[in-house]
Amino acid sequence: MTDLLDIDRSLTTPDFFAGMEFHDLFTRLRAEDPVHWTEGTHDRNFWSLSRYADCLTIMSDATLFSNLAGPHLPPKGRELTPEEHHRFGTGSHILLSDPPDHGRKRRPMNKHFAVPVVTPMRPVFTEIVNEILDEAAARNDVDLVADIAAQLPVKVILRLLGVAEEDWSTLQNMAVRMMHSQDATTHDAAYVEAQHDELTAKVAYMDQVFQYCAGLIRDRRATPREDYASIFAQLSDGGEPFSERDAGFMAVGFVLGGLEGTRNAVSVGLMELMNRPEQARRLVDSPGLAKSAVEEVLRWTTPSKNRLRVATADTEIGGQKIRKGEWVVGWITSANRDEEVFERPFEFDIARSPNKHLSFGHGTHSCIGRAMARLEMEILFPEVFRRFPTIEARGEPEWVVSDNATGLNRFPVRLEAR
Amino acid sequence: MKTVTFVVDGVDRVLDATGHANLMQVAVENDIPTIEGECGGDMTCGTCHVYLESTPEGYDAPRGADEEDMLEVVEAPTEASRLACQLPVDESVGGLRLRVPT
Repeated sequence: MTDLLDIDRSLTTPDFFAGMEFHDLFTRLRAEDPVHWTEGTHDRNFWSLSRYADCLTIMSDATLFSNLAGPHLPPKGRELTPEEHHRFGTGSHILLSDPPDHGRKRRPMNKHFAVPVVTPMRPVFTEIVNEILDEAAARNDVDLVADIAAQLPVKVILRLLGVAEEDWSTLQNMAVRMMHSQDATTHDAAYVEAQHDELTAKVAYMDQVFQYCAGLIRDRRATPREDYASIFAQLSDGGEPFSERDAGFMAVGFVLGGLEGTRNAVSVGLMELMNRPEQARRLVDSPGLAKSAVEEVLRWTTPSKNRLRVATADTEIGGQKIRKGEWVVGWITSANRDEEVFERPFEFDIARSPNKHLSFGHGTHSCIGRAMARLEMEILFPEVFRRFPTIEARGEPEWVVSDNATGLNRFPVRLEAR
Repeated sequence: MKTVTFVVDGVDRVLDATGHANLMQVAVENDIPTIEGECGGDMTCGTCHVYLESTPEGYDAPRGADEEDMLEVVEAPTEASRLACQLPVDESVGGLRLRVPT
């Protein structure tokens, strides 16, 4: 990394982000050019924000900084066509909506994801964690990702949503392909044969998830059950029922957000704890550390690296003039290592406090499912290391190739029970 | 002084609310138990539930529809239930008294 051209090329190359080495580039940007005009290989150039304060700025004003181009930098920085926008859920998906529409859709959902609703789920989540670890214990040699990290959100989220168990793996595959479309290893043969670009693939997989979820909504409108699909099916805004499309995209958000972010945070979190046996031991010995350990895993991993916003008016960020219509990308993965905010930002410390990371976003669009994700991890992390004090790598961790998702595709390990 | 009283386990905690936007912030700043204010006041987390015991004259902070919505899911709601983030610190807040669920 010697000149700005190299920086720009790196920021627009998904392979560059597979691992943790990319942080060196952001350390330099935070110091030298924190609001950086990025002219890489993408279709569109964009502003790269690397400091915490600037990332906070764009997430704090959902009117000045619009979500309508999508919540994250799209593959190759290509804009969606109007037809793709429709299939992607723009205007219906809460992450692709702006105020005041966004509030009308999100407000009726908030209470169903609030801490007082999620906290009583602890016994169910604990049972799921035990089920996963019982199965892993019976085999000893496992893939940390497929057998543990991915299992947890699938069993929690798809069960809560009310998806029939025989459909879990199908839906899981659609979600992974949608979220990791830049990773060649996730695509199916039909995609490769058709030589689709990554964004076309992303839209197609999004549509698959939506079609499945719309089916769930139709079913629950006819026959309500005790599940989140029924909650979404019955959502209304001031007495006006949500359209099937709006309700369907609520379920889409639950599936995509619920499965992918947790899987990625858990995979990296377990690996980092494995590599720091003294911290893993402390976590087992001091259950009070579980909450702060989860926050540190979230900060450290930042399962979703960036947030895309479009300036809706001329403005200024960090002394740089931003013009109306320009793309502004907040690299929260960098914000979460900002020396101005975090002491020893490059140290993984499960007791870190305070830890005001931005991994769940901030403001209007902050992750609605965060209480569930936190509870899942709070139960899993200590329990894994209580049962298996030693976890030994049996191969190299394989990172997801993505400028947004930070996670592992595979990591073979041997579990050694106490 | 904008003095407010938080009743915690039957014990009065008298706090100065000056400099804060709302009573959730006052509680968090003073480590009042059970009040987390995780969402920062967006009414998305439901972690600042309190029971309003008395309000000073002129203090006007009616419940909004979104607050009513969230109060449906908090533990043991009553007529006196409020989200502390929706109780602003203003000129008339002095003397307000509320109880924290325990």
